[in-house]
Amino acid sequence: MEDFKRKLRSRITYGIAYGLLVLLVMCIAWITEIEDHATSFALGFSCGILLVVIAYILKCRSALKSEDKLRALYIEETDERQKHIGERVGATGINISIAVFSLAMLISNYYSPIVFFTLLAVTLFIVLLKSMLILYYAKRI
Amino acid sequence: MQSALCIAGGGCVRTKIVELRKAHRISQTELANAVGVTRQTITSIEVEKYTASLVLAYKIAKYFGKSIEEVFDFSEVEGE
Repeated sequence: MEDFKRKLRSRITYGIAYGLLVLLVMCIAWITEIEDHATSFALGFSCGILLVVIAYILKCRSALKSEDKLRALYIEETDERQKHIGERVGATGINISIAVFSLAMLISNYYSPIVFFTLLAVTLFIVLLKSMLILYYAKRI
Repeated sequence: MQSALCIAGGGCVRTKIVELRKAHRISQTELANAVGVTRQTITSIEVEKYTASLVLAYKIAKYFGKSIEEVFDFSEVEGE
């Protein structure tokens, strides 16, 4: 359980570091008065993730203060059925993504070359990623 | 009554977890906490939706003070 406590503490540290980074970027954007759509979206997106990170930090801090909550969180994170579900979701998700993007790519070719090449790049990236992960885990397991 | 537990890539084994739990008068939550999984995992094993790993099967058997073979009946897969 000490290893898990260390893991939680390092996650809290990374979370705080991420929060400070977002604050720094927001300050820079505010000082330099950057208000274009892309920057606003990126900042909004980062703030959304920051809210999730803050919620997780609070959960970790609460677990570190109580042995019962710590054990509950440990079980929640190491439960083999949850891991199995995660693995199945990941594998199925990648296959469905490849199928959907491929179909969208074929249809988009009739309407927009830009969308077609974008979807082609995304599909090739996912296929490449899947192939690399298969090779990686085939060697590791 | 024994419930069937399907093994990935193979046949089925039966488990006596429900009977043992009732005999020891313990809840699914108590068993789950003792072996380090969620209550839902114990439920899934009992209702034959999930296959327990070898490690979890060992922990469950050890908790009841029995061998794996006494908790999980592999007779149906022996002939495969």
